[in-house]
Amino acid sequence: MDWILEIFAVSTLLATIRMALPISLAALGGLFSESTGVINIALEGIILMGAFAGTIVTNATGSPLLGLLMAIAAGLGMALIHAIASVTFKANHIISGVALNLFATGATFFLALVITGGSQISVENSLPKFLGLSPVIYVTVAIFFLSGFFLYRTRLGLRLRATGEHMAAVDSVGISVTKMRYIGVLISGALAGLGGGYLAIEQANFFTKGMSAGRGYIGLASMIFGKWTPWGAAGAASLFGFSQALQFRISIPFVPDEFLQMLPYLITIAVLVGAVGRATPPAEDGNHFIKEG
Amino acid sequence: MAENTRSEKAPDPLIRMEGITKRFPGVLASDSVDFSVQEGEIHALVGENGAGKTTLMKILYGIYSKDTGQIYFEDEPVDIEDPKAANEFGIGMVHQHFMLVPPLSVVDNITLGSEIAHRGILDREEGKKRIQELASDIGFDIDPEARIEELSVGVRQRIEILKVLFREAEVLILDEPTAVLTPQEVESLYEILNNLQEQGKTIIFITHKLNEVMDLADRVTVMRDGKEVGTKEIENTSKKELANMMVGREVLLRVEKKEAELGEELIRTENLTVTNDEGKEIVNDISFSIQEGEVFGIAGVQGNGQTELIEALTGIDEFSSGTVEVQESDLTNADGREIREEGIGHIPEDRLDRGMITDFTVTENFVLGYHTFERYSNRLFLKLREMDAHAEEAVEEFDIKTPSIKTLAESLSGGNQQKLIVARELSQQPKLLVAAQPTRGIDVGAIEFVHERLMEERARGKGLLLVSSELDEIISLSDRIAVIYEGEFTGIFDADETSKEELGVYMTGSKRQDEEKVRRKALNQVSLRE
Amino acid sequence: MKSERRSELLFNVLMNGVAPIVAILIAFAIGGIVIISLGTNPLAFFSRMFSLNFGTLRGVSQMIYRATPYFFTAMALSFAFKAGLFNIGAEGQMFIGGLALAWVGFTFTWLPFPILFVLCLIAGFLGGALWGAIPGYLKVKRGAHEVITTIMLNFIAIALVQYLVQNHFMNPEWGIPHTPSVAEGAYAPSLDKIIPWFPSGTRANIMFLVAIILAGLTLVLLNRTKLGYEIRATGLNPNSAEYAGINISSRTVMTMAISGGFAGMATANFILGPGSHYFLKSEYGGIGFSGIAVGLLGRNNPLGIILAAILFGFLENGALGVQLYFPNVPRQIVEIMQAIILIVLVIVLELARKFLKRLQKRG
Repeated sequence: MDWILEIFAVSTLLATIRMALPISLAALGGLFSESTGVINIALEGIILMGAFAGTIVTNATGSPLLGLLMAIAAGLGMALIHAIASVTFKANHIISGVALNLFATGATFFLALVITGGSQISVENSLPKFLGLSPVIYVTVAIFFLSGFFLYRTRLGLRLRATGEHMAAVDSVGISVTKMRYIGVLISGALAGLGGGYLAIEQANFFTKGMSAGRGYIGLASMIFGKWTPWGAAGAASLFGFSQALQFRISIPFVPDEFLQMLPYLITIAVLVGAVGRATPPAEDGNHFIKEG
Repeated sequence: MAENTRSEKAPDPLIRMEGITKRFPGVLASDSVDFSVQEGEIHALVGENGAGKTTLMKILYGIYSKDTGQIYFEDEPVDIEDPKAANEFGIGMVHQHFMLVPPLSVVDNITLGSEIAHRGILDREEGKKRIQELASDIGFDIDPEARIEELSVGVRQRIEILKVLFREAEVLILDEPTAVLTPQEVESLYEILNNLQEQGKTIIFITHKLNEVMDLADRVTVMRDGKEVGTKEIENTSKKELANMMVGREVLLRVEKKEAELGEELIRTENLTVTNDEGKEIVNDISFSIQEGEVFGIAGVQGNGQTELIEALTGIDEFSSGTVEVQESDLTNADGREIREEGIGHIPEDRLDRGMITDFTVTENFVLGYHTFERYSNRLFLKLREMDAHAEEAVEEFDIKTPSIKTLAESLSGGNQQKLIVARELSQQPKLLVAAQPTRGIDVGAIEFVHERLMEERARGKGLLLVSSELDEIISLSDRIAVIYEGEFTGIFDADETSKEELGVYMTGSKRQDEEKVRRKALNQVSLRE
Repeated sequence: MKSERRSELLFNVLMNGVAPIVAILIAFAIGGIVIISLGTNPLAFFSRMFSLNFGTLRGVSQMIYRATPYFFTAMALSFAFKAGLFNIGAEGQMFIGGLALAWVGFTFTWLPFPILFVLCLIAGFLGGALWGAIPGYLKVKRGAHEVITTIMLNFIAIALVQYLVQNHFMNPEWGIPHTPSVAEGAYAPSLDKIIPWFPSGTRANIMFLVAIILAGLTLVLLNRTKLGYEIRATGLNPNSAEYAGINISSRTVMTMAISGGFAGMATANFILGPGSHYFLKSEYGGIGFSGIAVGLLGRNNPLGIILAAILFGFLENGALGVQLYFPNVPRQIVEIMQAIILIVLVIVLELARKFLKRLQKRG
């Protein structure tokens, strides 16, 4: 019965926090993007890019801080391409996202081979731990508090949310829909990029090909399960982080690991079909703004 | 109102639009239009659907860019590039489709784009205070924290008006403000507009309802086919004159209608009820019957249950109770295929979003709904040759202008698209044809054509259920006319003995015949004169 | 009237011809720049790639082998598109179908060719169809958007397949988790057995011909059958389809099932074709997602998809071979190029659309 004790162990809690972190940043990123009505499934590729860029810069400069900043910059770069394709050029949001994910998979593997000759690169430095946890974790908690405030209490937050619900209304009062959408998508790229940087520099201490391993999609799942609110997303990401932590630490009798792997996706479908409470996505999700006249 | 009565060439209009032209692909929406508004007046802009009213106002509000022409504000030539620029001139617009964000609160919606904020942080308390003041100024109460999606259409419209006032607009443009309102809501809208006028605001409202024009406006400008026909002082004009200016085709509506030769009963419906998702009765306990050779017209303001009645009757929607019998067979809630196989055709009210598939070829559109018929397909395959032959034949017979039968329907003109639908339904020789708004938005020639065809069907002993919001059309084509109001028949009339005015009274629910009498007249159990 | 026909022609040429070609050229240009930056002559690189694919029949044959699975996953995307559905679950449908066809192949071992072969294909189709029908059903019954449900079902499929292989089908002594091998009756004949002048010893197999036949059948289904008419009507305008008495729900589920069925057959090329003959999950990852690019590049037309799949086969096969000559250029260069093709394509399509609209407005 050791596995029951293990579930409640402090080490499991810490593992949960570590596992949940990149997921929660991706979820929050997805939320910012979708709050302006742009679906961003490129989160997966952005995490991967962030992880790679962070690794390279950390190793090149010896500064994990610069590495994390580079991860954010890489995320912004990917997000910018997504915004250009799906907002300015009105590409289907999903297709643009798929293309970016394919790109990130190929490009990071390619560059890893070119730069180091292998598909795995170890990270030499990470930030000093604070109370046993990476400082990025505390920063992320602060980001969540700020995001809640930003989205619901500030002028720009209101405008972003309005854009995701009714673009024509936003346009009719003289706010640029395009600008709002760029802001939403770029914030999402910065957050997911940071998540990727954390994953490689702070959590795994290495980069390897395909290391995002579905975290971007689990982030999307968290966003949906969290009903498109920051705290809901954080809660869902924690739950999914917990199930990942368990997979690595213990094996629960009669529950195969694969089932725990499926859990986030099964829950998301359950939410979507209304079995676990209804969640309504922003009304303009996936739509394009076509100005009249 | 009297003080606004000036000569028709009054000096110094507040806004003057000169020679405004706007072309959309395939349509000249605004054709060198002149339009001017005096400060402090209520100015009605009337015309039929597609006359160019909304286009002109969207140009004034900066949503559309004009191709040519000039706008003057207080006699200065100005450029209004976008709604923001319009706001700076004190012009605001209440759109027909509300520009409100449903999950957000009233205060967030009203202030959006002009938020009250300190260093980017919203001050909602201040916003609420300002909104409540504004609301009480024009005489109503509002809960600024309610979310839009919880509010009725009437309240939403007030919020739209507040939104415009919040931006300190002096000129308010309202696009078909009454189209979505109940009669009570219309009353209070009138009140609000009068209050606004007293405060010195200038109001332009778009409508096609002449009663509203006579009730409310100081002056009226009539538009037709993208041109302005003229501007009148209300005191110097009449509904009749305005109607003639609007349609300009009085003669055309005189359809040759022979004496009806009625035959057997074709369809008999009893106690039809349609409920919407919220459990509200949209169609409430309606019964009627139609005989061979008879046109049964249903008149009413749009949105009183006509669409739902017809869609349930033709298998698109379902009745929650009631029965439909066509001759011997029970067709209550039959599906579209059974309905068609029983010989019921349907010209739907929405041409592009029901009646056809614009990305299908002409041929493919000619079998839409009939593709399962043995003539056009066997168990698996379409009979392409028969389909082509049918399309060729019908294109010829109904004189549909198309480069070929392989052309996509989207490249046909509106009139020819409608002809295609009419041709498709008539070429199947239905015994009963359900026709909803069969001539909406098509040119005069096509209207005439459709009317003639429908009358030919009647002469051949077919039955026709006609729904139209054009009273002229209903009166000139129908034998019996039922007026529908809020899902119920409020009166049944003999088309030869009624008038637009009489129908109009019943259409607004301000008068109704005895319920049992209506039912028996509609079922042909008693004569209409009783 | 004539001008309408001309504009229709112009539309087709621009959208279906010029746009994909421009996207491909730009991808090669960017790929070329990357190759230059690695100190390699891109012309030498690409011409070597070309001769590896087209220089010999053997090369052509290898290219075809690489191209075949893309056809199936691309058809999964494009078929669903016809009914207005966005199936990005080809990856999951491919895994479920693949395991199903392998299971039939190693279970009913006594059955002879071609019975077992055909049964395997049917099982693959049905497995994928089941996995595709689920999101269709959830959309129709509960309004769950198929984009999200298909993404989620991809991961569920991956975990499910892994669980089944590791716990039920696998001999624990094998290092890498895979299923037992299919029986000989399930083997897909290699192309040289059918086309006498084809070189022997390559992996190109009958699945390529199956793909071509299916492309033809799909065209017939969409354009000449009642079902195809209804599927297209549902996709182009569900309101009008409803008016026409078409059961949109059933057409939606059916379309998703057929779409998933295509993806379900994608791995037959590997499992039944010459080679290992067992289901090895790690070998197929990503083919479902790349199928999205192939489908769009083929402009959702079965014949276009065959061409687009061949291009992807060209890149993949070329990348594998060219490494011997240019070891400093990792073969992942083609993955980058594939992604660039997709993203440039959607941008070029929008530009073409804008251009056509402006042309139309001018009259």
